[in-house]
This record gives sequence, C-alpha cells and structure tokens, in this order.
Amino acid sequence: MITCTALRWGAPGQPLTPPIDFTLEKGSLTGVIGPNGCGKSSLLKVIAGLQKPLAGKVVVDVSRRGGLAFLPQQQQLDRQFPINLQELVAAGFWGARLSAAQRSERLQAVLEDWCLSGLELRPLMALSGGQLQRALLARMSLADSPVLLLDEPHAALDEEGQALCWNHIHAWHAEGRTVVVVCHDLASVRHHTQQVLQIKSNGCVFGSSKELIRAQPQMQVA
Amino acid sequence: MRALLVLFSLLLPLSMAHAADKLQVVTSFSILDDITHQIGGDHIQISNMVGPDADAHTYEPTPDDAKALLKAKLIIKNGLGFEPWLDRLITSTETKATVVTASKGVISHTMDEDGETIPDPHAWHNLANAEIYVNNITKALIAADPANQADYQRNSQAYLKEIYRLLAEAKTKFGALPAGNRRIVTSHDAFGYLGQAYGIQFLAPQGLSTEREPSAAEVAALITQIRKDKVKAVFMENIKDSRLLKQIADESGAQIGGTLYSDALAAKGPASTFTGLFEYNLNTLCAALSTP
Amino acid sequence: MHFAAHLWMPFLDFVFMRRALIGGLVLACSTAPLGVFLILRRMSLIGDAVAHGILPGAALGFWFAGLSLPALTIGGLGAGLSMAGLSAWITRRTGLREDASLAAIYPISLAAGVLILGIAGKRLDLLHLLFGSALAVDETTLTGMLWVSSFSLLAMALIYKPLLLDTLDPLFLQTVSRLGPLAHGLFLTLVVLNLVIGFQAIGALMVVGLMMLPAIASRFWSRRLPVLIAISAVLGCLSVWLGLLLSFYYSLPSGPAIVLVAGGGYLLSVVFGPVHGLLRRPPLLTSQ
Repeated sequence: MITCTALRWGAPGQPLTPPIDFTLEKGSLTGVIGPNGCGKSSLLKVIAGLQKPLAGKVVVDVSRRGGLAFLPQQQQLDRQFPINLQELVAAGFWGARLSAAQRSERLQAVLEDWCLSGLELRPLMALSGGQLQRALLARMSLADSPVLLLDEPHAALDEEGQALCWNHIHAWHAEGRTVVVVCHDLASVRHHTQQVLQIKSNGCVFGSSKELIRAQPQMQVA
Repeated sequence: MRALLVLFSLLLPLSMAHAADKLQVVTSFSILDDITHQIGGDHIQISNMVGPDADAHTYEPTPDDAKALLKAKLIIKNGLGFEPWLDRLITSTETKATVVTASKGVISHTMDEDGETIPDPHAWHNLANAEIYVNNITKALIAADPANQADYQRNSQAYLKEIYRLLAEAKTKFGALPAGNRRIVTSHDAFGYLGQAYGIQFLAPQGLSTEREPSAAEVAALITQIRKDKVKAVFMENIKDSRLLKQIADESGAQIGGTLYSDALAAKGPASTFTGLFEYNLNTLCAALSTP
Repeated sequence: MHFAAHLWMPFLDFVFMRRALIGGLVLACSTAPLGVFLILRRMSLIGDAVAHGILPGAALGFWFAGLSLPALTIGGLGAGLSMAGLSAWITRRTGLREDASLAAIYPISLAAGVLILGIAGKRLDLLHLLFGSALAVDETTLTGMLWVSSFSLLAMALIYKPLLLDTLDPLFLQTVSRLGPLAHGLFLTLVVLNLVIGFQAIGALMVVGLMMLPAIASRFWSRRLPVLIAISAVLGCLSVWLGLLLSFYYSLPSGPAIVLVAGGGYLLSVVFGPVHGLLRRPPLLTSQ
C-alpha cells in the first residue's frame, strides 16, 4: 500500500503541484496520466525513494530495497555499455538466493515470456529500442517485487509489444502485486486500468479511469 | 606613546633612505648569491632567485622574481645556458637593470648531449674559474656603485686570498691521490670542470641537466662500467632524488660515498657558503678516493 | 645472439630492469579494470587531475615533516582522496557531471597547494620529487606496489557487480541495494591509491598512460566488460615489457617509451580492431 500525504515534489523551490493526498491500496493497478512535464516520472521516483519530496511524505508498506521495483525511462541508460542482453536481464536476480541452475532456468523462462529468446548474447548497443524495453521489463519480472512502478513502459514498443506489456501488467496484478503505470495512451489506460491518478498543474484527481478519462476527451496526448 | 610615534616617524625616512642607498642586486642562484654577498657586503641588497638545495635546471620563476628584476639595478647570472628561464624573464619584464654574466671569460668546455654540442655551465667547480667570477662581479658592482669602490675592492681581495688558499689545498690533496683510480659516479654531469682541473673522471646517468629522465640503456651502461672499471664510490647530490643512484650503487656494488654539492649551496652546514661548498666536496671526494 | 634472447636478456642481466618489469606488470594489471571503468564513467582525464591536485597534500606533508617521501605520499594520498571524494559527493548530490565536478575541484586544489608552499616558505618543485622513475624502483617500492596491486584487484573483484550497475543504471541499483555510493567511493579510492603510488614508484606520465591507453584500446576488440578488462591488462603488460626493451636497446627514457608502445597499440586498435575499427565494415545493427 502506498499512502501520500500533503505531497509536493519537483525541483527545489519549484513544486509542480499543490499538496496532494492519495492512497493506492495493496494489490491495486493504477494508471498515472497527465501532460508532459507535469511530473509523472518524478512522482514515481519520489514514491520509489529515489528523489526527496519537497513537502509531505510517502509511506510505503514494503521495504524500500527489493520491495519496490522501478522501471525508468529508456534514455537514462548508457547504450554503449559493454554487456549483453542476458547480463542486463540477470541483474534482476540481485539478492536472490538461487543456485546457478535455478537462475539459468528462470532467466530462460523470463526471456521467453518477453519474446527475447535467442537474443541472450546480443550486446546492449546492438539492441533495438523495443528489444531493450522488453529486456528492462524482463529484468523487472525477475525481481519479484510486491510493488511495481513503471515509467512509460510502452514507449518504443510496437503494437504487439504493447499488448504483451499489458498482459504482463495484468498478470502481475493478478498475483496480488501493487502496480503503478505511467502511460500516455489514454485509450489504453481507460481500457486496462480501474483507477487513475490524473496530475495537473493545479492539483491531482484520483478516481475511476472510466469517469476521469471520459470527462476530458479533448486532452491531447503530447 | 606619542614620543615613540615621533621617534618612529623620524627614523622611518632614515631607514628607508638607507635602504634606498643600498644597491639592489638580483642573483640567479645561491652560489652567485654568496659570492656577490662576500664582495658587496652591507652596501648591497641581494634578492636571490633559486635558493639553497633547489635545482636551477628545472626552476620556474614566480611573479615575485619578476618584481625583483624590475626593482634591481644589477642582475648577476651564471650564463653558459644555465638559466634559460632567466633570459626569458628579463626580456618579458623589460627590466632596465644591467645584466652581468659571471662566467664571462671562462674557457668553457662543451658536452655532447643527445648529439647536440652544448656548453657545460657548471664552471664554478673549477676554483680557478671562481677567480674570474669574482673579478667580473667586482667590476660590475663598481660600475653600478662607484661610491663604494674601495670597499668592494678590499672585500674582493680578501675573498680571493681565501680562494687561493683553497686552490693550493686542492692541488695538494688531489695531487696525492693514486693516479689509476680516479672515477666517481654522481647523478648528473655537474663536475666536468672539477674533473678536468684535477684529472678525476665523473660518470653520470643523467647528462648535463637534471631535466632529462635517463633511459634503461644509460643506466645499464653505467652499471656495467662501474663493475668493469671498479669505480669506488657513488655520490648523491643535494638537489636530486637519490633513489636512482642508490639502485645503481646496489646493483653495481659501488659504495655510497656521501653527498656532493653540485648546483646549489646547502641551507645550513659547512656547504652553505661557496668556499665551504668547495672545501666540503674536496674533502669528501678525497676521503672516498684515497681508500684502497 | 639469438633474436628471441634479446627479448629477455636485459631482465636477466640487470636487477633494476627486473624490478622495473615486475613493478610495471603488476601496475598494468591493477590499473586495467580501473581504466576501463573510468572510461565507462566518463572520467578519463582523472589521471591528470589527480597528478596536479595532490599538491596541497604533499605540501602539507612537507610542511610538517620536511622532505620525507612517506610524508609526501601520505599527504598526496589524502589530498587525492579528498578531491575525488568531494567531486563525487557533489556529483551525487547535485547531478553535476563527474568530469565537470572534478575539473572544477582540481585547479582549486592545485592553487591551494602552491599557496601552502608559498606560506611554508619554500619554492620547491615538490611534484618533481614525488614523481619517480621506473628505473629507480627499489625493494621497498616494489613491495609497496605488490601490496597495493593485490589489494586493488581484490577490492575490484568485490565491488565489480555493484560498480557495474552503478555505472550502467544507477537508479536501478538504488532500488535494490545501498551499495552504490559505497562501491563508487571505494572505486575512486582505488584509482587515487594506484595513481599516487604509481606516481611515486614510476612517474606520472607512465601511470596515467598505463591506466588509460590500454583501456581505451581494448574497446576496439570486444563488447563484453570482462573481456575488455582482460585485454586491457594484456596490452598494458605488453607495453611495459616492450617499452622497457626499447628503453634498453634504443636509449629512450623509460616512461615515455612505455607510453609510446601503449599509444602504438591504441593506434593499431583504432585501425584494425574488429569493433568499430577503421578497416572493419560497420557492424550491422539489427532491428526487430
């Protein structure tokens, strides 16, 4: 469960919104929407503990390390880094007590889940945007965390990839994990989630996706 | 309190006038500093650039040095390519001072350094040349400050007497050394003139200047030569890191004979004056070379 | 004499050559992983920065203990660590890029050092005293290098995984572990340690050249991190060995000779290397 009280965040001295309060129940699936630059990524970072809020507090009922998995936007990665896909995904095993055989098995399974079989030894710099995104998602699958925060996971994915992604999100949700997804595609968010946090410069609204998204049909996807 | 202030304000112009009366001289390194001081005494105010135990080959001048050059009436340098940085500084500050080369008139010998023939600047190690230095400096002081001519000449004569005494001592002591084995290793070729004057051969891994890093070939050659010629002693210098020399001594089996003072006076001790330096080197060398 | 014999005779004949070789090889191995990671972290110029920035530490060491090499070294280490630590802290807290952070701090450090020397009253070329030469590696120095090298390699093995992630994807690492800043700090410590001990043992030019050139050259041969480190070490060792031979047979100063061989290796890699080398066709980037 994630509870935010009187939360404000952003660059020092420049909060992005007035103080907001909301609670995300354990095991819920929440979409986060809003125009570009309104602070969706930063909000996720604040919840993940990677950034300090300007005011208010965030209470998460799992341990910050290992309990929360965060999927960043792709451009934060150094594409020239000399590792291959397998090594990138296997970082998700951090702290897991598994034998080498078990790791190998799980790794294979997860790569298959994300349609990455056969690409194990491909170097990072030779991966396409879609392959990299699925690799990062696969890494997240391996991590096995109760809370998952995803910052625009559908970016760089084609239609098939996006469908695959939503499938996994539902699977995680079904397993009882708390999932928060930032997404620009309003139609998808409306279709796939029950509740949505809409961030605007004058405040946030938290409510049912069907209501909130229909309420402002002219909101542009930037 | 007020009395003190009045007294002070009376004395101040007096002391300043006195200071203003002193001839402002800049010397390039400690040996020249000492010689000039011996001749000039209280009539001159010396500002020295490369101090004791410092390496003039790698010296980099500071703004203070530039200021001193501008204030000076007389600049005394060694010449023979010893202080290229000083020539550049003189040009860049456009100082009006008279520049005196202390080694003018010295018969210099040349060294082969990397295929280039360059003069060996360490002329002061041959004490006979010191006489030329003293005369050049005396002439310069007299030209710049004729009022005190008598004092300068008197000091100069007294100093030369000391130098002649040392020359005689050197002749006797070095003359007494066995002829066959007069080979010494130091870190750089600073003692060419001394060697020439008294028939001593100085070997070194670094050439004339301490700036160059020696090559493995040079070090190996030196070690081989030491072993072959059974060179007796290896001497450290006060201006250089001694590790390389210790290595050479260890590997070749030569003894470490002590420290020689090459390009600078010592900060304190017997080698803190020029004559002291010469005498100290003389005794140290003789002690090492006369043991069988 | 048989040609091959030329390749090892100098080391048999002369103790100083042996020590230079062993010291150099050992340093090449411990600096290889450091160099590779420095490049990945965009800190390739740290060698120069540290070489100059250690002056205030050395100056303070000199002020308190005179011309004692251990004092200068410890002082230099202290200054180097503070400098690296401060710039790393600023980077982590403010997001300023690491190279900019360091580039800002080291001139301040250097200037402070010159000022301290001025106050201490001596105009000594302390840095010249701190920098040794490969040909002057004595017993104590060699032992010191062996210790530093072993410690360095061991420590790098321990922090390899967190350091890798901290370099590639620090946000991810932060979510799973606290080790990020610790690994970063230890890494910088190892870099400064190797640099300062290396300076003293075998000279500034050589250590920086040994640390960076093989690491940069290795990128033209592989796309896998462990292989990069291995190639880097091999290139470094080759440079030391061949460089010393050049110094011996052609009378070149040892430090520059070693760096020149390393540089030659780099140029060959740029031209002939299979990964982005000039003569290879550009690798095909596959898309889905």
